Amino acid sequence: MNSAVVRGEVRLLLRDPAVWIVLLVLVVTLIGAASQGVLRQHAEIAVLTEMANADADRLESATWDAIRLEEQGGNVSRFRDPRNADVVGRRLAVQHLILPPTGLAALAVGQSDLHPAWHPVSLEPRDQLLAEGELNSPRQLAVGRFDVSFVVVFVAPLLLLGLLAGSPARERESGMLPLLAVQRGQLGGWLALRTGLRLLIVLLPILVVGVMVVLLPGSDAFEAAAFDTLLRLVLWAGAVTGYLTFWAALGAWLGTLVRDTAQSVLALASSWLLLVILLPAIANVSLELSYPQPSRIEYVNAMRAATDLARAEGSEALQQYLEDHPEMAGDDVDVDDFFAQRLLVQERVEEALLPLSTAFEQQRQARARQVSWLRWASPAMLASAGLADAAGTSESRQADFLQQVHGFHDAWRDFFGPRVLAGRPFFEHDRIPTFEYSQEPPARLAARMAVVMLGCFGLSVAFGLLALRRARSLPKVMGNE
Amino acid sequence: MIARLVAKELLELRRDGRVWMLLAILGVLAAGAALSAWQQVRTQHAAWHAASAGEQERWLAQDEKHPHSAAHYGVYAFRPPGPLAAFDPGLDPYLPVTVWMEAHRQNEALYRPAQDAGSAVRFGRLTPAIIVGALLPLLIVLVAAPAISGERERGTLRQLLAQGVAPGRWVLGKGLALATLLAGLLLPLWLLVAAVLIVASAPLDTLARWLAAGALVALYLGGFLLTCLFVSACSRSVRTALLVLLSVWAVSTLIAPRAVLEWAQWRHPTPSSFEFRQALQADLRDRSELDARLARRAAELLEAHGVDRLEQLPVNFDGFRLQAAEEHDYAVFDAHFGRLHDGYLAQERLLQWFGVLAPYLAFSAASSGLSGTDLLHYRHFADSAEQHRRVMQEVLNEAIYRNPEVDGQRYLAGPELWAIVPKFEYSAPSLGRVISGHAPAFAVLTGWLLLPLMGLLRVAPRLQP
Repeated sequence: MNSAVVRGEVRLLLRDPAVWIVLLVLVVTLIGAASQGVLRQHAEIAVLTEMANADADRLESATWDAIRLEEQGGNVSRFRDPRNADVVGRRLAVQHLILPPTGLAALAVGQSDLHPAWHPVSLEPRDQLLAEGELNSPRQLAVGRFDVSFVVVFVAPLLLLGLLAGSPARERESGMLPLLAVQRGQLGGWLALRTGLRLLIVLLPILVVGVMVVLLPGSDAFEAAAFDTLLRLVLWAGAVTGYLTFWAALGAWLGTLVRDTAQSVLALASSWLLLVILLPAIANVSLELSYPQPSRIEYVNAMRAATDLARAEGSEALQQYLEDHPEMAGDDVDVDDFFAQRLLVQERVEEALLPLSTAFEQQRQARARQVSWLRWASPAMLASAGLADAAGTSESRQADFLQQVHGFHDAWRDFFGPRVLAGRPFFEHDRIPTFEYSQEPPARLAARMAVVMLGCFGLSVAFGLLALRRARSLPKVMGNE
Repeated sequence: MIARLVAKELLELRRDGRVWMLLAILGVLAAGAALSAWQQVRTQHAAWHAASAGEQERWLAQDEKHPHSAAHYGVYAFRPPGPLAAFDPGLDPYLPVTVWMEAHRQNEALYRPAQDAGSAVRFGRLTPAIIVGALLPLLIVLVAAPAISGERERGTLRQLLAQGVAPGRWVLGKGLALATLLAGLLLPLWLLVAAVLIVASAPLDTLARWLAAGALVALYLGGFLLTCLFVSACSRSVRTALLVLLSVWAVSTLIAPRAVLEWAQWRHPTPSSFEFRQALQADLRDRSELDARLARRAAELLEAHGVDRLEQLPVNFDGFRLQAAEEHDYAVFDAHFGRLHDGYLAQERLLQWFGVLAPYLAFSAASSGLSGTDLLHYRHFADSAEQHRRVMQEVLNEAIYRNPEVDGQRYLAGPELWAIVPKFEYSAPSLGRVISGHAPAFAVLTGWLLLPLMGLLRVAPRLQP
């Protein structure tokens, strides 16, 4: 195809008012969504920083208070004493473990509004700590956020299909199609050029906005994790390109199947409705019917019953514990100590709850596996999950973080447990474990995203080939009616 | 004349294969959504019932202990599913299911079911209310958009007018035919549910809510139908009518809810959990007023009983101290939780008023309100739980106050005291309160019905071929 043809198509495109309307709508929604995302990200970073600072200040002040009390003496309640390991591990040294937002967090809210980006760790029961969460408005959680991901998954396909509507039916209606066939030989190339140009009109602003959000002045994403951000940006751009290419190929193919402009509009609108609204909805209904989610009410009910049972045995808890864990039974364990008693009753309660929480978690994970299969019900679901994954706001990153939280909680108990049982004054404030989030290996993220891209590009190729095949016989099919 | 027009239109609709196809798709989706919603509500109801009963049993079965230990043991209040949650689960998956009522603090409610549901659930929920509010309007668009513009495009409108057909009556016939189609679809289902509710001896309030939900659906779909007819009457071609109406639908159901909520969040920001707790703790830490009150009361009691030490009093001053501390904190809790909930409700009201631009916003707010699955109901539940917590603490602290230590032995209460603490029983707010809370939504939907009606009354008699 020579450059004159390309130039001609571009000229035609620029004269089409629909193109400018689509561009306007797209740019306005993108700017709105991106600016919301950037503001949200900044606010989140500010809160997380404040949280970490408050933890550090509290610990520092406890450290100095402990030294001061030891050196100068003074009266302080045992329940507030910074030299008491239990008080330090339960209150004064509470650490909020933070899941740092990635450089692309402004692009997709994903599941980050539902699960907090922090979890407190202390000697308090794990269930109690993990139950804490954000206060986001339930209505907003139900409706979803107006983010760039929403624009990509819902709005952009609609705009792209709007640009593709009536092509090539309009040429046929105006009698141009046979002329084009005569002038340009195979219509496949012409159709690919038309579709490709329209795809670029929608795709380019999204990619530009995506890159701008990451590189925006004030964003320290690159300084903090340059490689991670760059990788995520490339994967995000790949997923966006794959998803919109799929819609372009589908639109081109549907366009070759219908005979007039009205039919074309209806076919494209129906395909959007089917893939973006109906199929995900049907998939969800089938999920609810086949894999109902575990009930938290049932869990809390069972937890209370198990807790009561374990507490009833509380007075024997320490003795029993020391029999089970003789390594902990040093000479200096005070069996009558309130703090030791409390800690061990708590351990006993958690042991009793373990089968319950394991069963609940297994049911949750079984459902999560089904949910991950469900993505394949519609390219829109696949892309939505992929974009959240690339932005680091997906369920899988949250699960990975939670696992690290559990690990750190164990380390916390291992550190404080013997010290609480020993009941000696505590001066090891500077040896308290500290948490550092470890990013998941880039290869794992890349592998997950490759599946998403493969899915989208695979479907794009399939529909693209179908469209090209139909395009070869377009003048015959459409012209001989 | 009108009857014949309606009959002719209905015959055409019956012969239209696309209508049957759309109805079949909607029917399958509605059946799946209803089954899934019913299953969920049934499970939730059973779990709620078992957990509430279990909690009360556990409370009554406590061993002998100091009342303040019982206050710390506390009680969990579980939020029941809304009266019409099977029709519109609304915000249910995003509202915490339980709140722990214990001494000293008003806890935040816990566990949003959506946290355990997986990400896919947030993409494409399907409930009976969504079918009525989002998908049925789409059916109306597809059927009603060509109703007048199609006749104009085909040239049949010119013939009809030439034959002397009164255009106003003709449009009325079209409208009545489409309304009959919708009523034929929805009325039997509505009556069926009403019959089930009556047979199941549902409370009168639930029946009244179902009646109001019927009126809401009629108002909303009626408005949508009139809007479609108005746009169709003003459009030169089916394509134009379709494009305008599909855009209205997409903006109303897809874009506006998210965009408006972002704005509402900006206007009435929800604090982060950290900020909320920091502010709450800061206010709770200020005990100067409480300390002064305790000192005053201690002096009064010592003087009244002519003793020097609190331990010599015939009452247990700890009971007063605990209750005074509770009462001191009430105002702080009320202020902070009140602000939080007021913020949510202010966002909700804004959403309802924005129904002027996107009627789906008003419909979904009112529908979840009538179903008992909205923020108004959630706040009512949270407030009821807090009131119960306060009553609980008062009873337990009163028992401590009346029972001073004897020979250094602390008072231990038993089942007789646990039985005095009332059981937590929650009932949803009345329909009147729900309707007044959603007055903006009803007003907006009435406007959406009247505005296109007035437009149609103006356009229809002057219909141009």
